[in-house]
Amino acid sequence: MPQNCCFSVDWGRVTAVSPETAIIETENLTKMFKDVVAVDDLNLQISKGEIFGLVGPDGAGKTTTIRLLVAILDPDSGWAKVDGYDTVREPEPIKSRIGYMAQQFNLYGDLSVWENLNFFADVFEITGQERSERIERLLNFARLNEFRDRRAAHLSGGMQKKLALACTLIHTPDIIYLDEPTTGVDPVSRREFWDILTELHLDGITLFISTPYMDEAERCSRVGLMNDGKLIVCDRPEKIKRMISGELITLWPSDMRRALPLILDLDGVLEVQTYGDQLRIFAEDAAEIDSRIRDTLSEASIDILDMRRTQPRMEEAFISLIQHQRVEAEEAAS
Amino acid sequence: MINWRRVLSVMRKEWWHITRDKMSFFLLIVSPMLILITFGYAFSIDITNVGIGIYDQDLSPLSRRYINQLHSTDALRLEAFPENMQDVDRLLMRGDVKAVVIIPRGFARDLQSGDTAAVQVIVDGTNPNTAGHAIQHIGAHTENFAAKQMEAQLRRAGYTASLEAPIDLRIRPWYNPSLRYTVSMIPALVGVVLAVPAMAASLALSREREWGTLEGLIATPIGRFELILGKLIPYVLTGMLSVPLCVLTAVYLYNVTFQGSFLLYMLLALLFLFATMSIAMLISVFIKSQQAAIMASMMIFLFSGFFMSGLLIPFALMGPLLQMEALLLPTTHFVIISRSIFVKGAGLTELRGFAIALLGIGILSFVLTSLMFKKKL
Repeated sequence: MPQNCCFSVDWGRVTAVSPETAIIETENLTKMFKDVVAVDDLNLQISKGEIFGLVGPDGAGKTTTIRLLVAILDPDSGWAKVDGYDTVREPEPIKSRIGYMAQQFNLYGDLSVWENLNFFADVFEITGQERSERIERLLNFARLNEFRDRRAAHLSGGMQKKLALACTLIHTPDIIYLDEPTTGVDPVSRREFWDILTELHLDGITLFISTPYMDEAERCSRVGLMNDGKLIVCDRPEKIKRMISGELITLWPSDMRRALPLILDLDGVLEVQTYGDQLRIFAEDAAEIDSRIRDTLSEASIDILDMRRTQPRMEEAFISLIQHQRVEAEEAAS
Repeated sequence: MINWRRVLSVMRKEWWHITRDKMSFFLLIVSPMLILITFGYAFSIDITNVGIGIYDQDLSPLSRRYINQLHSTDALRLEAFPENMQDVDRLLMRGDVKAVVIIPRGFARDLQSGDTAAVQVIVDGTNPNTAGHAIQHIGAHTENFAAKQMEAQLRRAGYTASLEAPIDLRIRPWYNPSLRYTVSMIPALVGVVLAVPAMAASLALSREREWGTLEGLIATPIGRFELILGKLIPYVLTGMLSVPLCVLTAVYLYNVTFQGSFLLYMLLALLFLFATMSIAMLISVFIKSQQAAIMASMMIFLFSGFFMSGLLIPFALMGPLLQMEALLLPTTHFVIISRSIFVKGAGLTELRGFAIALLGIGILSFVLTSLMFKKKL
C-alpha cells in the first residue's frame, strides 16, 4: 500500500504537482488529543484549482485536518503551508486568503441573511460599491435573494448551508475548505449545492472538501482516503477504483448468513463485502469462479436469486482499502 | 493596525444579539433595578416602633407620667399591659413585645421620698438589633424622666439651680442627620447591583463558543483586540441604561436624597461598568460554557459584591488578606463612590483615587483579555 502515494502517481489531466504550484502542502503533519492520534503523519500536496475530496469514516481525522489547514489548530509535529504561509507562524495571511465552512452551522442565527453577509463583508474589509455588489451577487448565486431578511435560524438546513457558503465567499478567497458541507441536507439541495461548487471550481478556486458520501467523492478531481488519522490513499477517483485487485461479482443469495462462510472458503476469492441482501465478491478470475459458486451454493441448497459481473464503485474500493489497512495495522501490532 | 470599521461592525452585531435576546436585555438593563427593589427592603429597615409591654404594679400618677414619657417618641410603642408575671412570660414568648418594663409597687413613694426607685426591664435577646434598640430608648427615656424628677425635688427643697452638665456635648451627624440606616445602605446597594450587568457580558464569548460561531470567526483575519473591544463597548453602553433606573429607584422608592452631581455619578459608573465588564470578558476567555461563566460571574459580582465590598462588613473590619482581595474588586471602590456622591455630594477631587483604581482594574483586565484570547481552538 503506497503511503505517500501523492508523490508518485501520474496526474493525468490534473496539473502536475510541483512545489511551485502546490497551494496546500503538509509534511508529516501530526495532531494528538491526549493519547489519541487524530492526524497521523499526513503528507499532502494540493495544487491550485483542484477539487480535493477528503473521505473517510467518522472519527477518521477529517475535521482535525481541516482545522489544522485553516490555522485555527496547531499541529504537534510536522508542518502545513497554505499558499506558502506556515499555519503556525503566519496564520493571519492565510486567513485572509481562505474561506472556511465548518461542519456545524456557524452563522448567527439571530441575524438575518443580509446581516450575516454584511458582517462578514466588514470582517474581511470589503467596502463601498464592491461590497453591495458582492452581497447582491452572492444572494443570487446562493439563491437566497427572497430570504434576505429572514433570520438565519429560520432557514432550512440546505439554505443555511448555502448562506454559510456565501459568507465564506464574500472576500473571493483562493481556497475554500468545506467540512462535510452536505451532511444532513436533502438530495435535491445537495445536487444544487454541488452545482454551485462546480461553478466555483470553474472559476479557478481551489476546493478542499471533506465528505462521508462516496458519490460526492467521485465528483472530486482527486480524493484522499483517511482512516484512523492516516491517509491511506490519495489519487484520482478512477485510479482508486482500479486499485482493488481482482474482478467484482455481485451475488444475491437466498440465505446470506449461510452463503457468506461458504464463499469465503473458496479458492480464488480475494475479499467479500456485504451490502444488505447482496454479497460483493472480489475474485482473481470472475468467469472461473462463477461455476464454483453455483456448485457450492446448490450443494448447500441455497438459491441464487441473481449473480452478475459489476464495475467496482468508490464505495467498494474504500471498504476494501480500509479493510486492508486494518489487517496491516493488526499485523504490525502483533 | 486596528480597523475601526471592524470594531464598529462587531459592536453592531453584539447590539443585535443583546436586543434580540430577552435574557441579555433583562440582565443588562432591568435586573439591577429589580434586585435593588427586592433587596433594598431587607437592607434598609430603620428600626422604629418596637413594641413593649408595661407591667405597672404601682398604678400611681407618677408611674403614669413615666409611662407617658416612654412613648413620647415613635421609637417605642406601648403594645400590652400585662397584669402578672405569667402574662409577661407569655407576651415575650409569643414575640408580641420585644421588652417589658416592670414598675414595682412603691415606685412613686421611693421617688418622692428621695430614695432610689427601681425599674426592671426584661428584654427579648433573640434579635440583638431590636433588643439593643429597645434598651437604648428605654434607657434614654428613663434618664430623661429621672432628671426631671430630680429638678422638681430640688425646686421643692428651695434650690433654683437647673441641672446642667459641666460639658455641653452636642453631637451633630452630618450628611445623614437622623442617622437613617437606609441613607447609608441604599446607595451602597446601588453600587453592588450595578455589577449585575457584567454577568451578561461574561456570556459574550462563551455564547459564541457554544453556538460554534467562534470557530468561524477565528478563521477570519479579524484581530482579537478588535473582537474584544467590539464586544465590550455595546455591553458597557447598554449597561449604562440601568444606572439612571437604579438612581431613580433609590431616590423615589427609598427616599434617599441625591446630594451630588448626577453627571459625575454617570461618569464614574461608566468606569465601573468598564472595569466589571472587562473582568467578565476575562472570565469568558477562560470559562468555556455559558452556564459555568454565569456561575463564576455570580460568585465574583454578586456574592463578593455583597460580602466583600464593604456593603455589609465595613472595610476596616476585614483582615489584611481580605482587604487586598476587596481592593481588586471594582465594587469595593464603586460602593464608596456611590455612598459619597449620594450622601455627601462628593466631587471628583475627593473620589479621584477610586476613579483611578476603577480605570486601572478595567485597563488591566482588558489588556489581559486581549492577550489571553487566542485565535485557536
